[in-house]
Amino acid sequence: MFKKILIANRGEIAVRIIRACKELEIISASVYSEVDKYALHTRLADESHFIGESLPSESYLNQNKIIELAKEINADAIHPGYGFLSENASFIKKVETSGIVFIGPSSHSVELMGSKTAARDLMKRNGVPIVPGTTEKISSLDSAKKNAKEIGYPILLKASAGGGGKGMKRVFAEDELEAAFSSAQREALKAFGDDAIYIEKLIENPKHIEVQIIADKFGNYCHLFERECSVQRRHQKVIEEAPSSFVDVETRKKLTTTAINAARACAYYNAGTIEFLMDKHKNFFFLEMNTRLQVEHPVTEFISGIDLVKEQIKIASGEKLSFKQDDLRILGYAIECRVYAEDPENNFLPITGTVGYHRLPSGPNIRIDRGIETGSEVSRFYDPLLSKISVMEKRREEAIKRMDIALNDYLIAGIKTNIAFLKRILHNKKFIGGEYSINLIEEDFLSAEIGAGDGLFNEELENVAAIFSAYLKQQPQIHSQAKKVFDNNKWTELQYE
Amino acid sequence: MNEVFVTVNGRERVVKFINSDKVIIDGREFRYDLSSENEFHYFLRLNKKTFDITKVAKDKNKIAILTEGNYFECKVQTKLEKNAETILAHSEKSHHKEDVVSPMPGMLLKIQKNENDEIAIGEPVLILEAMKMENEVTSPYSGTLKKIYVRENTPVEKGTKLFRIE
Repeated sequence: MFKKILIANRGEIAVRIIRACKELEIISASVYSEVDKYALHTRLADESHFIGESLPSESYLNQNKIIELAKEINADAIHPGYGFLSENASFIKKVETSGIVFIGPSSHSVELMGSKTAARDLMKRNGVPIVPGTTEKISSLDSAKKNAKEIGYPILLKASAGGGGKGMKRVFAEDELEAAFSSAQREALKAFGDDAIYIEKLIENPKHIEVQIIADKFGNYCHLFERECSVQRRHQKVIEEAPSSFVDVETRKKLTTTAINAARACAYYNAGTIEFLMDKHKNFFFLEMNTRLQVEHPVTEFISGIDLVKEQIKIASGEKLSFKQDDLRILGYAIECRVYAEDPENNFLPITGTVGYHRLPSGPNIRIDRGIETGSEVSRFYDPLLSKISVMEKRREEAIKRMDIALNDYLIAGIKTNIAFLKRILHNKKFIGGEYSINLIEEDFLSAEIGAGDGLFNEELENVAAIFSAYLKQQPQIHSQAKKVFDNNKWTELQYE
Repeated sequence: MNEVFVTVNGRERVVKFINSDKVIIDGREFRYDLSSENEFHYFLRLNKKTFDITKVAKDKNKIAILTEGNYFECKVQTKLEKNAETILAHSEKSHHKEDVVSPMPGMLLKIQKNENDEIAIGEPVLILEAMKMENEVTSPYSGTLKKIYVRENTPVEKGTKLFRIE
């Protein structure tokens, strides 16, 4: 087993990995940028090392600095988390040649799956169904026009090197193509350093269903069932659940078998996810493979009972999978909500600021993954994900209820979040019925006036809001006035001045 | 104490504090108790139930809070402020004249409209890039795009004036 792991990431995922290291009695070494000097991941690790300015390119994306540091501190392995360098094949190659173990797949697998067009081609040749569209990169508007016409509108423009919704645009008619194409190219170039675009037929009202795969270096492949991540805004996931309420036993069998085939096709090892779009007839199409740990891995850990991060580390160190497919059962229903610093009433624009107060929900089968606490700074440099709440219960309705209550208990001050918006989704009829597609937010929340109605607000809460804000208006200094709650200190005799 | 006019979810309430445990909302009397742990976290007891409240943001006439998973943006005005607003609104024939400011720091990528264009509410005016994503900044009002304060390919801070709709 490894002695020391360098965690090349920040925020909640770095914290998650540090905890796994501690449980395995491996020394955890975190890296931090200027603004993250006292971030949670910096403080929780056994060691922390400064790697550069706040801009990601100077710090968390600085490949050479990270590899040099790993050598210098005698780290055996690097865990990349998600985002940043996690799916960067050239980085992984450099790590491999430096003699340090990369906790994840080989650079070869990442390269095969990293180009979305090459991956589509590979899947097609291995009998994995793909969304109709081009398997080649498109670099000119003329060629985009020609291909779009052949495929037939509506279409989806996607960045060849892409992910996370960057460089992705929907186009319903030819006159929208030019603006969308140049915008997609710009986003792709900035996000991935490559402006190659490809075109897919837009599958209307699909569900996003993905299968968690895990494999060791001895050719043992297992799936950890599916997740449904159809609740998305701006092509990014907001609420994920496992298993999908839409997938029946027979479909699950086909889906997971296909996913394992897809992973075998690129000689995959470690944890990975095959994403599919599923239409209303339960036909599914390969979307892409995420060759890393996913943000939403907690729901899978809940329903499978497997600790994915520890498993990742063991596989990387050369161990065999600690379980077999037949050992696995679906243990319940799990849901995850991503709490973002963002403004749902304003196109989900990210919000920056300082967390003035933070209280997390707790209770049976409630799990929190977080990178922040009271006093944390949410800067413009990084993703606005603050924390993830995951819950499990026996049945889906019970899990939704548990999540709703957990969100009531979540207190956060000083920064606007999507908590109230998440609650509105949990109360949405389509969501509760499981009959929703990736267009749920757009259809049910963006066209209607946000913040009003839904039967969520009640008279009493509005009175609470009215009294509180009226009081604060008249007495802006109430917190410094006499009426403080905790001002009698029983332990006075233990205070040293 | 004086009356305070609070608008929550589009409905105005008149709040009048009688003393430190009695308040009248729209003529109805409630017993309350308000205490704080610090300037961000408060406890409000109303009748039999205690509510945790966290302060999200506050300026002179606006207070945003989170309580029980519900987010409220409350407009708060004293009687004097409300009267002043009414007079002002009449004198300007309730026309919206407002500068739209940048909701976040980022890079201004593209301006999609020209000055003096007629803009409908919700129509995109410019593209702001932040967190590597292109974000459309839309107009919160219908009206004429009177002025664009910014240029393409320049960085903007949160609160930078972007354009003016009249």
